[in-house]
Amino acid sequence: MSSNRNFTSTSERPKNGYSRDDVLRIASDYKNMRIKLISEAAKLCGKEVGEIGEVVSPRTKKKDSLAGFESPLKRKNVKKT
Amino acid sequence: MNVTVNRYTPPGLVEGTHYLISIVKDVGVECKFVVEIVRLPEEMHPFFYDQYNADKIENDFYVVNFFDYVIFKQDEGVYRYTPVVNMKFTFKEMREFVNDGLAVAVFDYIENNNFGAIVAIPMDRGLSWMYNKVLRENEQNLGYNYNQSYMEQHIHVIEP
Repeated sequence: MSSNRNFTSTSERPKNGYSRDDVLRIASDYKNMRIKLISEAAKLCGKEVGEIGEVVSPRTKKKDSLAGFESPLKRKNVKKT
Repeated sequence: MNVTVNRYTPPGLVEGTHYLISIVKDVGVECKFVVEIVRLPEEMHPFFYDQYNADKIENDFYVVNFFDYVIFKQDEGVYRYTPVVNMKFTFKEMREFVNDGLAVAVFDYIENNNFGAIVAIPMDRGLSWMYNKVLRENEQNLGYNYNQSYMEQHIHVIEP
């Protein structure tokens, strides 16, 4: 993780004035609006399936193990020896 | 679990860039998700006024959404957005969905398009945690900047 950028730290409260609940409510309403729009567009053109194009090559790092992806809840319960 | 990402054009005239994530679980169950990257809607612009100027937000900000493919097969009004907790994924499967599906689609978009920022707002805390992990891990390798300052609100922002 970069440490030399000017972004505020994650522990600092966002200054945009929105609570997490506000953000999630707005985002949820928006997702539902998009779902309605996409499904209506499909119905209007009378198709259930779109056009599937080429396969996208993965660029994400492949993990050999899941160690780094262990659930934080699980990790919290590991006894220290 | 086998995850494949294809470029995708949904039926009808729908704005944005789309991808289709096809998943075959180890038990043989198949599911598909549509990923879309579209301009940030107006109602989300104020989220970013504290750090970005309005012109940039209006013209160059995009948002990532994903939907269950069944939206094309449901009667109007029946399907609503399903939080990832209802996707019946194990933790390992959800990690693969994010890393090998969603992130692959977003990184492909990044490579092939101009953008000021791409925003993701997962509804679920676990999903948000995974977005954070994948975005941090690939930041240096793929050359974007990851703005984590909105993490508290489940907002993840990447910039070129």
